[in-house]
Amino acid sequence: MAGTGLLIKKRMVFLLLVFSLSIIFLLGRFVWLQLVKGNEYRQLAFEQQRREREISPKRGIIYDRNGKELAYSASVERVTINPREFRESCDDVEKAAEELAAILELDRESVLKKINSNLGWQSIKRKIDKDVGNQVRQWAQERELAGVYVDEDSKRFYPYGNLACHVIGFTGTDNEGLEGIEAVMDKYLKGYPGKILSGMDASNRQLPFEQELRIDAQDGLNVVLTIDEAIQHFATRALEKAIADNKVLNGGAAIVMDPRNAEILAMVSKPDYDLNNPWAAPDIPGIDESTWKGTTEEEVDILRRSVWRNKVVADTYEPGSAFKAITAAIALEEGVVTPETPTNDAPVKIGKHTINCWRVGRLHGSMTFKEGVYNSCNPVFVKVAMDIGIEKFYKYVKAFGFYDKTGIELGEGRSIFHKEPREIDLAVASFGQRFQVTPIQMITAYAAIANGGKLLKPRLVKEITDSSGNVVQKFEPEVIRNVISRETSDTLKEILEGVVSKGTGKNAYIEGYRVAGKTATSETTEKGRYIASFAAFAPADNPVVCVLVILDNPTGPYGYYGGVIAGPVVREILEQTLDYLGVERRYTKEEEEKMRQQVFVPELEGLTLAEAKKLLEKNNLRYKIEGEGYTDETKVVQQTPTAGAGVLGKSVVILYTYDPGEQVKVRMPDLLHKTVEEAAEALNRVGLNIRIIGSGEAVRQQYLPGTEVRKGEIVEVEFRHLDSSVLEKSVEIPGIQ
Amino acid sequence: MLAFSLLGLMVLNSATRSIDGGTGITLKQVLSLIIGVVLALVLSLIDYKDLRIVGPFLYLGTTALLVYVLFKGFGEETTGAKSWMMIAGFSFQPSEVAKITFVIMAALFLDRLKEKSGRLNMLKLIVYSAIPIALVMAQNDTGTAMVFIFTFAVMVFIYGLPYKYFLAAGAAFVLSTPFLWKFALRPHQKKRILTYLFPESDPTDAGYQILHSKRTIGSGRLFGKGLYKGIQTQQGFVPVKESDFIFTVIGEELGFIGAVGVLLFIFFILLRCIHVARNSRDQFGSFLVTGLTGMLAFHFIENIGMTIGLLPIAGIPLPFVSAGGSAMISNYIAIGIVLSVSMRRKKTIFDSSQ
Repeated sequence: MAGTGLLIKKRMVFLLLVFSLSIIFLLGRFVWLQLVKGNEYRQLAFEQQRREREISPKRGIIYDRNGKELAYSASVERVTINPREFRESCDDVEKAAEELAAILELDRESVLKKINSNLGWQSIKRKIDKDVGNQVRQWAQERELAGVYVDEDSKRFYPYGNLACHVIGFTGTDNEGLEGIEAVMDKYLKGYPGKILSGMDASNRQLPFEQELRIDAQDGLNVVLTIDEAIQHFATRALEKAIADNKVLNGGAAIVMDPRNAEILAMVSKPDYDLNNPWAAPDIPGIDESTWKGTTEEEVDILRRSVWRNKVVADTYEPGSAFKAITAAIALEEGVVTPETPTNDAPVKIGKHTINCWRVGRLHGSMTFKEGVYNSCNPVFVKVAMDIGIEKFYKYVKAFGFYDKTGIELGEGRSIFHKEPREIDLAVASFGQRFQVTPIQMITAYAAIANGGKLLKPRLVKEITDSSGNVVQKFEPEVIRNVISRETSDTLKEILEGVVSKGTGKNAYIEGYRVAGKTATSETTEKGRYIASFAAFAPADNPVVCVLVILDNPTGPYGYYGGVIAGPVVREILEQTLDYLGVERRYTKEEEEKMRQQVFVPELEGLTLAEAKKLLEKNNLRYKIEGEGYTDETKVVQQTPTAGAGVLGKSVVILYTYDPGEQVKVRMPDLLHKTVEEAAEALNRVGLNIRIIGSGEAVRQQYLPGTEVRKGEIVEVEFRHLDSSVLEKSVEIPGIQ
Repeated sequence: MLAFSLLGLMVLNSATRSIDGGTGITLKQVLSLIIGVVLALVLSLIDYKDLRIVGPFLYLGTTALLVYVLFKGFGEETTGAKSWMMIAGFSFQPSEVAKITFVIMAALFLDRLKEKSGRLNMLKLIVYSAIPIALVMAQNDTGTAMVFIFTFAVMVFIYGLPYKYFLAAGAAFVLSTPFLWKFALRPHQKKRILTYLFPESDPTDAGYQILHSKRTIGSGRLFGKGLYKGIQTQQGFVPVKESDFIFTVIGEELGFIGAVGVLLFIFFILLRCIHVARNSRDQFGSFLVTGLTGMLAFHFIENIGMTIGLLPIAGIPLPFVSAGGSAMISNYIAIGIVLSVSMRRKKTIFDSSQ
């Protein structure tokens, strides 16, 4: 026999080579798995062997800018079971399930199902009170049950309920942030969970030789907002009142910003919801509260579209005439006009469209540019926009940030502009029509006008602090770009102040605080649905607060004009905020004269009538004496109003020469549509005094006509300008898309 | 050889500690080992040329058994393989023995072909090879069928089949994959291939084994956790650790050093076998040994390869280590035959003087 042939031998060498290579390959894999990635795999294996119960970290607190707690976590407890241990230690599983369900107010079936499961751990109930947790402990001890664990858990509380709900947001069942700052700042707030470790085998039996090991949770960091709880309150209350008074159907928004650093002091969006119960049935039409569960996808979608929606950042609206301030800024910056440039409101023809002033048929006639702004006269703006030109105009619109997201911490909507604007688009854009921006973009642009021309990034978060109050991270003001010069800013501020003191913005006028601003009324794509808004800042020469108020679909008795219904809201928010911030009032000459009439009621009780009369005369006050048979020497027993009350001069003080028990009452007169003077006179006549809110004609009085009121009492009367001087309205130009 | 088996026993013992009746498995393994070693010694004393005469009968016998289990056999329900039968109270897997007789038969025909190539012999070889492959396939034991195919391929390669045929076969395989995927493969096979390609895609079910196997081996790092101390192993995170996934136990408990040791051992065995094949006194011996070597090599490489995620999972045990009496015995029969060839090889001195 020839033995093995050469070919066979060759092939054997080849075969050996293949085997060797395969083995080297395997070897390489071992190097990779065991030497290179060994630590990682060991970690994974370790984790697998350990089954742990989690200790929730305490979520960080959300503070307002002054350290008031807007959201905090409190320690509660949670019940977890190890089903296998539980079953093994229990002779009657069904009964145990029933008892446990009773303590925790749960459904017996669901508890039983969890007990009978084969998973390692089953969470029975979370976020229970400590005393309920103790009940469970006691119960488990009495029945000698194993595998029942009561550990700490944390629950989120929002002490202010609805207040600033869209800013703060809320958390889910696992304390994870779902909305607002809770969601955006989740990584700071959440902290790191701790663990209770116990050794486990693959079938989930606790290994007896292992001890329980506890790793403490690391608490989350705190978030300090720029929001001021007090200002948030002012803005919320004012907006709520306006929504109720004007039967506003689609809610509204209010923002208060410090224009110097773009810190948001208040952000209100309506409708809103209670942060402690975000899944509750929303208070909007068409919702049946009895069948509402708040858990279905459909319902969550409704919540998301209604009460959870933050109109300030998520929605866009047609800014209307408030945008004229931007057009004016561009025109002034580009030198197209000066405040004194003569102009008129004759209709302007653009192509086949004619643009009229809103006061068609009763035109303002010739006027200066600044008067055009006071009167919110459309043709005036169309003319300057034409002079500016399409390219330059939109370049500035971009520079004011209307094309970009502002960069605020919350999720923003996108503004909508014509991609390639034509002349007619420019013409209507000059007075704020046919494009949409978000309210936050609008107020940020106004802040730029107010602060000397810098576009800043609006901010809600001031800083991040740790549990002992040390600042971990501070968020500084961020200048995006310079949009207009300081000179332009100053000129425009003066013009906008004129809008409030002389023009359509009169209802936002506050004595002593020089308010500057611009009204707006725009019609939406929905027929008959208007948006009334007002953007303002004060004091005009050195603005510290910037406010934007938007009312969506007002249907109330005062109509839908921004100047009429949004103006008073701005006034209320500005006045309260400026007072709260301690901004000094500086009165004009005219105001000062009026001021002199304001006096304080002196302390009169205990004086003789002669002394009292003398003192009152000195204070420019009148009096009425109640009593019989008194002389100059009779002592004053009681007085209304009480000492220290601020009243207008010539107010009536009622002096009692006896203890009246119940004071004398008079009937409240009807003051509707009366001027301030007329109303004051009417009240004084019956022995009542007035507190004036706003200016113009009386629209609301503290008591209904005919109500019995204590004689001498100070009655609050709200006035408003309802005459044509504040009625400006966007005029629809047919045929423009 | 024996040392390797003893190491295997130790690891197996460790692997089975945490299983109910684990000692039983180990005891059976010891028994099989003893039987195997005795058989190997006996076989090594018999001249392998006798296999030329007995071979066809053995082949017919095992083929008959394969047919028998196809109808009367039982097996694990999980994979659907029906490849077991009872003999004298022991369960027995005919396909394990059929691997050996298959190699003998193939070696016989290859030798005949080498002497005088004839169409008829060629045809016979192909038909006789196809029969056990088809039978094993019919048992749903694809892994074992692959062993047969690989072994056959190694043998015809050594025979000297031109490379072009292998290229053609390879090309045919590649081209037919889409059709195989669509028509031939059963769901559990598709799943195995998919989890091989993307093990993370399904970590709970099909990918579980492979992920845990990798994790377990990786966690052994350089020196391992020590015999009996592998946490993953002892706590049952690795399924079928006593048989197909026994290498994970080695990886975890003996670490990189242990794994490399085993690989070197295997390399040494294969090297030795090929040396024997090269120096066989006749071609029949060469074919016999290379066939058996190829068979063992495929087992080794595929088994280890699958535990570390390099190759797809197939139900193939690690020779001499995995639990399984039939496999242990038939592996030792193979070794016995190799020894028989080795003892009757021509002297190297003659070789070099030629």
